[in-house]
Order: sequence, then structure tokens, then C-alpha cells
Amino acid sequence: MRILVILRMMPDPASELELNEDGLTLDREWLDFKLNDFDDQALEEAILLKEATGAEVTAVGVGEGSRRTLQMALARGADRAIEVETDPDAMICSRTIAKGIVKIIRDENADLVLTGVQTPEDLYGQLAPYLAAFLDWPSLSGTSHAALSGNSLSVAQERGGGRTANYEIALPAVLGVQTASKAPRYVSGSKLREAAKTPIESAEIEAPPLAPSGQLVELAAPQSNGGGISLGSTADEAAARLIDILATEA
Amino acid sequence: MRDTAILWALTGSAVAITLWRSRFLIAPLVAAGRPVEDRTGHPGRRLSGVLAAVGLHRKLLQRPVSGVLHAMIFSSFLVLLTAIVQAFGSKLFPGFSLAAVGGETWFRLMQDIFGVVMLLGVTLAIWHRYYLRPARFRGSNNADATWIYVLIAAIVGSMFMESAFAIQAHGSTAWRPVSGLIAQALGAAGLNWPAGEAFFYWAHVIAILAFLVYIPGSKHRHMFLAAPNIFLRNLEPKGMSPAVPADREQPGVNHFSDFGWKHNLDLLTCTECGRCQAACPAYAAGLPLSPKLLITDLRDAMIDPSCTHEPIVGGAISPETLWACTTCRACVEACPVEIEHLPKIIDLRRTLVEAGTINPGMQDAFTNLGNLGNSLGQPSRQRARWTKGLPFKVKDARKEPVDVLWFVGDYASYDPRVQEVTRKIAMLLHSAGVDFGILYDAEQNSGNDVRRAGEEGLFEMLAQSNIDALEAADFNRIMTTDPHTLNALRNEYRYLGANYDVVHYTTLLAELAETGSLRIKKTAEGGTATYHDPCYLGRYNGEFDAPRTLITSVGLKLHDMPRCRENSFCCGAGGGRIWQDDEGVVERPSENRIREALDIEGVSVFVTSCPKDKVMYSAAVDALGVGDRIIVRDIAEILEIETDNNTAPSADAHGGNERRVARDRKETS
Amino acid sequence: MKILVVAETLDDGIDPVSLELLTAARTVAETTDEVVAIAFAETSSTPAESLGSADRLICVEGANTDTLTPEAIQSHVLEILECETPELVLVAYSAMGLDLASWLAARAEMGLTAYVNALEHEEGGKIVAHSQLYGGKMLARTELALPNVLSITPGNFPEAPRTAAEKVEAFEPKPLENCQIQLKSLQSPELEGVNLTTSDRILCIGRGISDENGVEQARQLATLLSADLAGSRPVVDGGLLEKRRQVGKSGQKVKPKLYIALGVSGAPEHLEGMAGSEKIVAVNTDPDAPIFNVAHYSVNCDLFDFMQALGDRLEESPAETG
Repeated sequence: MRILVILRMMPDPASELELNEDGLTLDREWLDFKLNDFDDQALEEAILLKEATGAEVTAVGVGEGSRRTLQMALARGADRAIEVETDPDAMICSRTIAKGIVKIIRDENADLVLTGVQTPEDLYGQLAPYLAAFLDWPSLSGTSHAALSGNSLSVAQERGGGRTANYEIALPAVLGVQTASKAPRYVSGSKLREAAKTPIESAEIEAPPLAPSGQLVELAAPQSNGGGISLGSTADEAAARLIDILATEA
Repeated sequence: MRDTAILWALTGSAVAITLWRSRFLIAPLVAAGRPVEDRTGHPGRRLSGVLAAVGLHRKLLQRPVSGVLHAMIFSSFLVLLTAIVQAFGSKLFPGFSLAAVGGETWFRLMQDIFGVVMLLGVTLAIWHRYYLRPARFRGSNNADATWIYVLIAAIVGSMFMESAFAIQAHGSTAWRPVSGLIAQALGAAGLNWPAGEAFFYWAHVIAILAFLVYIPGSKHRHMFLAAPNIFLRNLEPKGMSPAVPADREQPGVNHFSDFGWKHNLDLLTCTECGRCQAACPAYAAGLPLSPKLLITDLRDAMIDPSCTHEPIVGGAISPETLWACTTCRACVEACPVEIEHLPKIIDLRRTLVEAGTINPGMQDAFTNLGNLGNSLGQPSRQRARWTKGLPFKVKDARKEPVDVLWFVGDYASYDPRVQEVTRKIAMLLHSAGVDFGILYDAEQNSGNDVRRAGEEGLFEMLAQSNIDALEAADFNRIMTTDPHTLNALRNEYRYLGANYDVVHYTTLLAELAETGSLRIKKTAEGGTATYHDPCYLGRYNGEFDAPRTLITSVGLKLHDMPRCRENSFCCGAGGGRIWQDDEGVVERPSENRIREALDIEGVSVFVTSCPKDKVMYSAAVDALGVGDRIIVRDIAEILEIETDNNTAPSADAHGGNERRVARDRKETS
Repeated sequence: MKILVVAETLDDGIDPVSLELLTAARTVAETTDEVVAIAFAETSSTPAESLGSADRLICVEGANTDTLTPEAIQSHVLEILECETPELVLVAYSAMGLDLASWLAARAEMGLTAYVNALEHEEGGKIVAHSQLYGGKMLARTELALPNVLSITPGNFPEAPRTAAEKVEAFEPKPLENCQIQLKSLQSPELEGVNLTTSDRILCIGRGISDENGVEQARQLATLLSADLAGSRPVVDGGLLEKRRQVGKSGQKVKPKLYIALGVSGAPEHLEGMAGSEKIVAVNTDPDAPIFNVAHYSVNCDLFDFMQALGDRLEESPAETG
């Protein structure tokens, strides 16, 4: 089995996000980027499948600073790593990436594509279902507990209210991983240094221009940030306001 | 002639049995590799250490009862050695006699006196072990100790009896007051036994040989091993972690053969005295670590032929035990025979890290450190954000030369509870006219605790990145806020070939106060404070006095806690513990420490000089709900600058602090 | 303009989120626009009872969305889409929605806007969607290019009234060939003890709660709020709550929809465990308490007064809390 796992770099959620003057884009100059959390789970799931079945794992890195992440993926057990070049200043657009990566998936002859179920930047949609649509492969999002059984994969999907659906999905397939079967493992610094010796391939993605889903007119921090909205100065007033909020929002 | 033959046979077989019994002790020493550190250089320094430890009982006497009883037994043992020489020499080599040097005169007097001292010592030991029952003996082998008491009593008793019957037979009590008294008593009781002398001679000899045979399986090996073990101690700076030998495949150790032979010798030397256990903050907290049991468990596995080749981690020693250590070094400091617990723990932790078996908190911290250069998960580019509140711009040491390069550290840079202290230090340096700068976001975590947590590769990455930044900067010396950072820069970076002149901010501030550049206002006349010696500043790096000078300079009366200076009690945050949760902790070391401070009459200020301490002890005071009785202050926070017009630039900051205290006291958390 | 709403159906009826989608559709629909609901159900009678807020209901009989496989839903919705050619398709941001929305957008060559929590109808017929990005740290306003699939975050629009649908059409989809996905089983969670990590609502008490009496008062309030009771470290340390109810660095990391912090100062270790909560309400007497830095709503008063006031009101009208 050949597994391809797609790893996307995201602004660190702990960072303070600042906007450029255009009010439409993040000031990425001062941001730290880290691997999207769900993609980390996808990577772990890929490595666990490799350990269970002897599959070959290729990690594909997308976004700023993905080289370092790909080294980490190699240290964790990926066999190969491919860095995809993207516009470092733009937010990730899953649809564009999907269009471009389809070619890599076909070239690599992958049987299974894993990626995180979502990223915080998925304004224009999630990657896994896009890939499935373009590849005409079956796909499931929000998965956990993936295991190979015969020529298909048994996998759970996490639904609302803590419910779980157990599926059998035929390969080739795409999974948007929510949780790996085990927590992502730690790789020691010495293994990272060892993995740094493995060369990282690079690939350019040629994506045809897509009709935009819409035009971003404003990007702004929500007003409630920084102190939040005061619910009033007396206990009674505040309690009343909170009940209104509970009824409408939460 | 017949007696000579018998004694030769007995002695020969006893020595043979002893050696045979020792084979499992010797094998691991032979199989082990070379220690990474030099173990024989500076013989003079080594010897003087041995003399202080053995001759003067330097560490033993820190606990008076056991120190005195050990001194009694030890000195008596030296004197009674002459009796043993006489007993064996006279029979093994017919004609042998020490009479020419006083063998029958003052030797006998000394033997009589010290025979009594020995019995008193043993009595004291029994009273100590079985009546006083110090907690540090918990887990030690009491049966072993009891056998030793019995054997010693037999040896001394038989010596006295032999001597008494000799007096009965030959008459003279000169030089033998005690034996004479026993002879008198025997006579008074009508016990006349001509064969008594010979009988007790053989009893004496057999008791001695039994002792010899017994020793290989007993903690009393230390009679032979303590002095060599102390002689062969590590003379490298205390703050250097064990280096990874170039020929080791993995960074860690998991087999006894991977330890250098000195580490295995340590295990054989342990006397099970438990001083390390008594000093250990992890043990006190209820965590599954006793440094004593760590050593004895390792020892038992090493000398057990069925375990000696098994992996240590997960076998003899559990991961939980290894992760419990704060690396405070109190155990090593307390050990009378210079056993090095810490390097073993670090080497075994390296094995855990390599296998990826670490807990989630540490994994987060390590991942953050690898990605962002700090353990807190804060953006690396915001490391110098704390400078925003300052009325002046802090020099960028990457761009211009500075006299003092300030290596700020993670907690001092990012933790909101400590940033105020960091700004205060900046104000103090500024007003003292110090030409200082920082590395801004070129600084990364120093890696001190990363290395101690066993993450060698990550340590090297962090250290190398810092060394690169430091090499590119132009400065005379480095000042650190964090003692952990101080230790890494001063000691650990030597491992990568970097040598820096590093001082702690308290050292620099004390120096500035001394030269008059920093004029400290006496603001706290009459108050009483206590001071916590941070492990990595005091015990590791020997700075005890500068902080104390600063504290008294503001007019505070300083009242040390019982555990202070070298014997300071760790806050519980070091060695990667700050990244782990409190699972299994019964009492937090920090809360134990605050209680210790509260026990001192009149102390209302708990002074710290380490950013992690500020965090840990503030939390401890909150958790205990004693904010109305004691406040935690960093040294920098209590220092106010004397100015001519009396408007100190930091007056506002100070006011802010006071307001915060008032807030903290309101029960809002 | 035609707006299509993909309803979610369970064994026991309509998933309430479908009613939220109908409200969202009505927010942007003008009087001349048509709102069409698609529902999958064993029989069309169940959705027909509740989805009357739509102008028209298209019903695919046989199974509900809970038991249909994603590929079946994808295929059937696409087929309907090709007949209806709507300008907007509304899908919930749920497990089913994740499988459907982007796939549909790609296949039907429509735009897609995700994480939508509000919709505006601007002059000139422009529709602007608000999307929460970066875990709620940023709000994006997007002027939609039509046609567009909207993935709507549940809990942001009120439920449309459950009324009976007047126009109900049955739709017979093409049978699915060559199924690639099979549903093996469905499991519900075991409800033993409290698991804060999956709680939707958490009422967290800090040291300000003082003692057992305060905890008891908070426990009652939590019941009224249908929230799980949690505590900060000092509360758990003080033996006032069990360890599995601790939120923070050494406790649980929680991401409820609603997090009410009562008398929690908000040490960094605590914030680490809960700052990802969708809505944070902080109640504290200290206006500078760091908890307010992450709070969406702040109440600056004594927490006992607040608990009393809130409890009284909830007892009066418990239904109001959703």
C-alpha cells in the first residue's frame, strides 16, 4: 500500500494575529507557522498504518516552513518527503491545493491519501472532500481508528454528541483525519538530526485558475476580543443578559 | 605448627569464598566502559577530598547522632585493625610480633579503650536505627545492618574474652584495664577456664573471617569502596551533564555495560544511609522516586546474574521514577560517598526520550521548544515583547556591541507574572548605567532542563542556535535572569566548545551596589525576609552571598530557613518537572517550602532569585491561601533606587506591584 | 434566486440544525426567492411535519442521513442539484456536512464558503457571509460569488418554527452503482462519569468559590444550565471537586461551546486548558483578572450575587436556555 499524507503549515494558534493595512490579509511576516494539528494526527495515522501493514508513506508538505515539518515526518517514519511550493503570503485555499496535488497523487500511485479533517484557514472548504471529488475516490471526514482489512479500510467517523459511525471504505480513498489511533509520537532531537540527512524532494503544483468562491471584503478580529463585552454592572442585569445570550447563541 | 596450618586453611578458604562471592560484583565493573569524565587527574585534590570525607567525616557529621556513632565505629575499627593484624600475624607467621612498636603495651591499651568505644558505637547505632528510626532508613536493608552489629559485637566480645582469659592465665593487667576488669569479674564468678584464651582466640578469628565472607553481599562493602569511590569522584563542574561518548550508538544508557565503570562502582558503594532520600524533593512530594532506592534497585539488578544483562529502563527502574526527578542535585550533595545519582538518571532518561516514551506535557514542551525555541508555546518572534513597557529601548546585541549581554530566558521573557520582574531588572541596569543589550528573537531556550530531561538532540540544537547568536554578537560578559540558563551557558555549553563569562543578575547587581553604581534605597527597614537558594544558582554554581547582600541592603532582616545554601530544598520545577502534571504528588515541594518559611517567626517576605521560583512559589502561596501572611518577591522587586530628587523611575512599577499584591489577596482565583 | 437547504435527519426525526439552516436561508432570501429543503427519510411524513419553513420540500425516501453513506448523500444531492440549479446551497458544518459541502462545490462547480456564522443581505442583492477563522480569532466577511455552497456552523441561527410543509415532492434518485463505502455500525457514547472534553457547556469555579457551600450552589446552577461543573486547580486541590473535573494544564483541555468561569482569575495554566472554548463568560470581582483577556463576555461583580441572580431567573424560565 502506498500512503500519501498531506501536511499543511498554519499560523501558530498561540500567535497574536495581526492584520495588514488592507484589512484583508494576515501580517504573516511576524507569524510562527506550525503543522496543522489534524494533519499531525493524519501523519501519525499514516505511520501507524505503515507499522501495521508495511505500507510506504510519502509526506507532502504545503506552506511556509514545511521543510522542517517534513524532516519531522521523516524522523517519525515517513519514507519520502515532497515539499510543495506555494505562495507564502496567501491563505491556504484547499481547492487550489487539491487541484494541484491530484497530479502528485496520481504520479505517486497512491492507494490512500490522508490529511487533517480541516484547518483554521479553510474559508473556501476542506481539502479531503475536494481531493475525493477531483480523484473520484470515496472519502470520509472526521475519522479515527483507521485499520486495513483486506483491500479496504475500516474506519470510524466521529459524529456529533460523541456518537461514532463505523465504516468500511474501499481503496483507493481519501480520509480527513480527526484523531489518530494513538497520540502523535514524540521524536527525539537525535532522530530529527538523523532524518535531516534524507533529501526532501520538491514539486511545483500547476493549478488552473479557479473561479473565486467570493470576494473577501474584510478580515477582522471579532469585537468581543480583549476584555469581551460587558454584560452589565449589577449581578441581576448581567444574569438577564446572559440568559438572552444563551437563548440566541450558545 | 598445627594452629598455623589450620589458620592458613581457614583464612585461605575465607578469602576464596569472599572472592567467589564477589564475582558478580566484579563482573559488571569489568564489563562496563570507560567513564566519560577523567577520574584520576588532580590526585592531590582527590586525596584531600577523601581525607575530608573519611578522616573528618565532613558530610557525615551534618547529622550529629549518626555522624558521631559512625565516627566511633570507624575510629575503633582503625584501632582494632591492629588487634586483627596481631591475631592473624602471630599465628600465620610464627615469630611475628608488634611488641617492638608497643604491641603489648599501648596497643593493648588502645584496643581496650576502642573496643569499648566500638561497643558503645554499635549500641548507639542500634538505638538510632531501631528506636529513633529516622525516615531515611525506610527501604534500607535492616537485616543486613543487624548482622553487621552482631558480627562486630562478636569480634569485639571475643577479643575482650580472649584478653581476659589471657590475663587469668598469665596474670598481668597492665595496659589492659577493661580486659582486666572482665578477668576480675570472671574470677569473682568462679569462672576459671585454662582453655578460654585459645577458645576465644579461635572465636575471634572465626568472627573476623565470617565478617570478611559476609561483606561482599552487604552494604558494608563501603568499608573498602567508600574511599576509592570518593577518590574517583567527578571533578568536572557540577553543572555539566554526562557527555554522550562518541562511540555510543544511542544517546542514552539502558544496560549496565553502557555505564562507565565508575557508575557501577557507585552502585556497589552505596551504604543505604538514605541521606539522599531525606533530601529529595520528589520523594517528599510522594512521587515514586527515592534516590536511595534508585541506587539500590540498580545495584540489585546489576549484581543479579539473571538481570544484569536486561534493559534497565522499564525493568529495574520504571519510567515514572526517572521522570519524577527535578535534577536539584540535593542527593549528590548529601551523599557521604559521592555517589552520582543524577548522571545515571539523565542517561536513563535519554533512553526514554529516544524511544519516545514521554508524557504529554513534556511532549508539548519539547515540540514547542523545537518549533518555537521556548517551552511555553509562545511565538518566537514575540520573545522581546516584554521590553514594550520600558521607557527606553533595550539595545539589540545582534546589531551593536554591548558590555553585558543579557540572556533573558523563557519564563522571564514570556510569563506575565515574571515580565514585571524582568522589566524591573532592566530599569535597575539602566539606572546603574550598565551598557547592556539582548539578543531579541535570536535567543532561544538555553536547553538546560531539556538536556536534563534526556533530550540530548534537542539540547544540541538549541545550544548551537544560541551559540551561533552569541558568536555573532560583541560583548564582554553574559548576565542571565534564570539560574538554569546561567548553568547551561556557563557549564553545559562547554560541551559544544563554547566558554563564556556568565553571571547571574543578583551577582551583577550586588557588584554594582558594591561599586556605588547602583544606590539602593533602604525601603524596608524592620521587615523580615527569608531567601530561597535556587538549586542552579546555589548548589550548582556556588552563588549564595550576592542575593543575601542585596536583601539586607534594603534594610530587610534576613532569616534563613533550616534548609538553606547547599541544602536548599528544590521548588519542584527543575529538570523538566515544570512541564509535567502533578499526578502522584501528595505535597508539592513548593508548598512544603512555603510551610517551612511560615514556620519562621516574623517572616513576611519570601525572596526568590529565579523566574521559575517566582511562578512556583506564587502558585504555592495561592494554593495554601496564605497570601495574607507571606508574599513572594523576586530580589529585583524589592530593590529601589536612591535618587537625589526622590522620584525613582521605578516608583510607579513598585506601586503597581503593591496594587497587585492587594489584588492577589482578594479571593478572586 | 433559489436556495437549497440540505436537512439532516435522524431516526427520531429532524436534526434541529436543519431548522437553523432554514432560518439562515430566510435571512438572505427575498420575497421572490424560493427556499427548497432536501430531506432523506424513511418516509416523507417525518420531514414534512417539521420543514414547513421551506417553500418546497424534496424528499428522498428510504433512509435518513444518519444511516446513508456519505457517497450516497453526495450522489443524490448532486443529482437534485443538477435538476434544481440553485444559487445557494446550505449545509451544516457537521460530520455529514464536512463530507458533503466541499465535494458538492467541486462537482457542481460552485463556490464554497465555510465556517459561516452570520449572513447579511446587502444592497444590490449582494450576500455577505461571516466566517470564523483561526479558531474564532478572526472574522472574515466574504461577498459571495454565486452559485455558492455555504457550510454553516451550528448554533448561530435560531431554529425555524416546526410547521408542516405544504409542497412535498418525492424524488427517486438513480441507484448507486459500485458502492465504495459501507456503514457497519453506529455507536452511542457510554455515559459514565463526566467527560469535560466533550462537554458543550461547562461551568467552571475558581478559588473565589470559597467552600463546600459555594460549590453546592454552583452545582445547582450547573444543573439549571445543563452544564458540566468543573474547577480550576485551587478548587480541585482543595478537595472541593474531583480531579476529572479539573480544567487547565494539569487537568482537562476543554473546548465547550460555552464556558462560564466563576471566580477564576485565569492563570496562564488555566487559560491553556480552556481558551479554545467557543464562548467564554467570565465573572470576577477583579477587573484586571487575566481571564477577561480571553472572555467574550465579562461580568464584573461578586460571583455569589451573580449565581443567585442567574439561578433565580433560570428557575423561572428554564426553557430559555436552549
